[in-house]
Amino acid sequence: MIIDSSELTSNTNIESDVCIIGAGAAGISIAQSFFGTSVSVALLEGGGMEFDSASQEIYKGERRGIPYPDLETSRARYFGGTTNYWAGHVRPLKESDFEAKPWIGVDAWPITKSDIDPYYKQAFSYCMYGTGEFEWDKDYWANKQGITSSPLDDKHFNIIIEQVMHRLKPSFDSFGAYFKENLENSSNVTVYLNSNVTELHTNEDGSSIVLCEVYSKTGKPFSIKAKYFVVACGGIENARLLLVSNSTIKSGIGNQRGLVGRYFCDHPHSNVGRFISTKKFHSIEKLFKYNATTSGSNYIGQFLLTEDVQRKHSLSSTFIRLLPKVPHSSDGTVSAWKIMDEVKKGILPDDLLYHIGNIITEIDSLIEREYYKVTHKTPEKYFSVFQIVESVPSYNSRVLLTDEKDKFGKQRIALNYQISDIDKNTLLFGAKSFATDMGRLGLGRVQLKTELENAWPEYLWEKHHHMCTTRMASDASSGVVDKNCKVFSTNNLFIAGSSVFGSAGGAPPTLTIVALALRLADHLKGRLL
Amino acid sequence: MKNISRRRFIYYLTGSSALSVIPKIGLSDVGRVENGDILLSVITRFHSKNSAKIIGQEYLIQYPNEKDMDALYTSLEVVPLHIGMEKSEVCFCLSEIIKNDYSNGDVINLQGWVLSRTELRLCALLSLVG
Repeated sequence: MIIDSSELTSNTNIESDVCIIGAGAAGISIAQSFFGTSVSVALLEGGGMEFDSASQEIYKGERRGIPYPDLETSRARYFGGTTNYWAGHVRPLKESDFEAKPWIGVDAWPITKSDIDPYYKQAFSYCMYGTGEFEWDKDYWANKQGITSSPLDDKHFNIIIEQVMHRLKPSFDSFGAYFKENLENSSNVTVYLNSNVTELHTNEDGSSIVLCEVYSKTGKPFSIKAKYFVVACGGIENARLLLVSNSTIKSGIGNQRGLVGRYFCDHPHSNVGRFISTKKFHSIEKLFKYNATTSGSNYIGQFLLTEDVQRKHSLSSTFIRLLPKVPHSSDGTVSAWKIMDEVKKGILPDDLLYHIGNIITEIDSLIEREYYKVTHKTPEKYFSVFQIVESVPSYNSRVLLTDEKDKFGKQRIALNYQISDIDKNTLLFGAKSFATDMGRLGLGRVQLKTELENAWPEYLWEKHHHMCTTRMASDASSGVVDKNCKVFSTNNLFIAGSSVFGSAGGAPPTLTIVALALRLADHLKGRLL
Repeated sequence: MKNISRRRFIYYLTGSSALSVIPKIGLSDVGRVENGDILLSVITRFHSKNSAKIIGQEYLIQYPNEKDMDALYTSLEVVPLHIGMEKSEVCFCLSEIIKNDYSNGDVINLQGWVLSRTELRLCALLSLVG
């Protein structure tokens, strides 16, 4: 069932077995896991079904440290969460992503890949909306392109496969859209839209959450009591909710050691140059383009810096994606998809003029993309070399509260984002190694951007992957949650989302977010059923 | 075996045989060439003599002390080349030297392009031959 909290009577007290705060990838996945069980679930979403600037405004925050995208626009505060902005790339983490990397000061996660492996397949199904094949062997995908041998070697890079959910096929553009019908029809899961959680209240010693204080969009107060609470508001907001929940524990819930909000990580990336290929590369080129599967998803080969090289040169993980210009989505292409989606349903989008405007202003990119989709030939003459780096968790890179307050009287956040010389070295080493490898193997030549070394970090972009702010650790001295995502200090409070990542890892986070959420759901079922 | 002479080598070079060791980029025109990015316009036609000459000139601007045909020829380390070699064998030897340059990190950054020192010296030699 889905209801708007404005329909509730003021000061309503709702009771459920599980209260999930946040209806994004993690929150919805957990709720979905409880469908058809005897467990009652309240799923609270701060926004409504569609984007609303008044709701989104809650996400305003101050940016300190190195340049970072606007905090209000780098995440989405409505049903489906930031999957509404998601590009759809998925890839599991590797075993080594969970291990300690002492050469760069990264601690091990308290779990190994084998702990979440059983959940990756189901997570994949969720993330790809039922499309794609759960297959990561590069040879399998290369064979599909008729590639049986390769001139590549593993001196610096392993070839890895990333899969991409296609935003046109199937016709869902977020977790919210994909799971909406299930949630509407569920008898044991109730979604409360426009539910602004302002504080989690604990008992006197902070060992247990007793209720969750919530306000509707119109300012009506209500509360939720539950056996278990799951905070799933995203990598920044998870930390904020713990920090502002300070009526009893003044430092904030779980923050007795001052670690909530710390170790904020992202995946800084940049267009580091361009690659002009030789005929020798043409024999394997198809693997490094966006290839469509029969079910409508895409896959693409990428270059991942090997673990041996990382260890030998004291680097973190990094991978390179070759991008012909066209497959990169623009607002124009997304708008075209949106209109086509709606037309298929026999309707037109409410904001038709806006979408038509996007198409007109970006008609070139739209034509190029469609040309690519039909012919798989790129009208441009070279690949852009995009490189993504796993940033190293830094104690000083953090989310913290400011004195400014939002409309519900809760402190806004500041993000003091920091990256290290290791990140810079990783990016430079990866770019140069790729350039020399392509020359050494006779596959082409690379032109690196001259500002790589001199303009650091201004030329970096962020992936809007907000991670590690309530990180998972083996004990409370180095993290906020344990291996089951339970807040160390609080018996019935769990965290879901990329904020629990022990380190950023060398893959897009969404698949692992969902896999960890499904694992958490199983853990809660073990307690409740 | 007697080493290949400079004269014979340059004969190969000007006959474009040696240039063929520099990967043919396979694109005849890069389309929109950014202002001032001369190399982009020529590297895409790297296999053409004129393109290689321009690359060579750029290299010699960065390394004016190599603007000497004898010194360049010597620095090309053409020791493995000897009389009697077929052109294809010359190309193979040079390819291996270029490959080694990349393996050993003996590369030059020319306007951002990461290029083997040997391939650049080949281009420089060609530009001096005229």
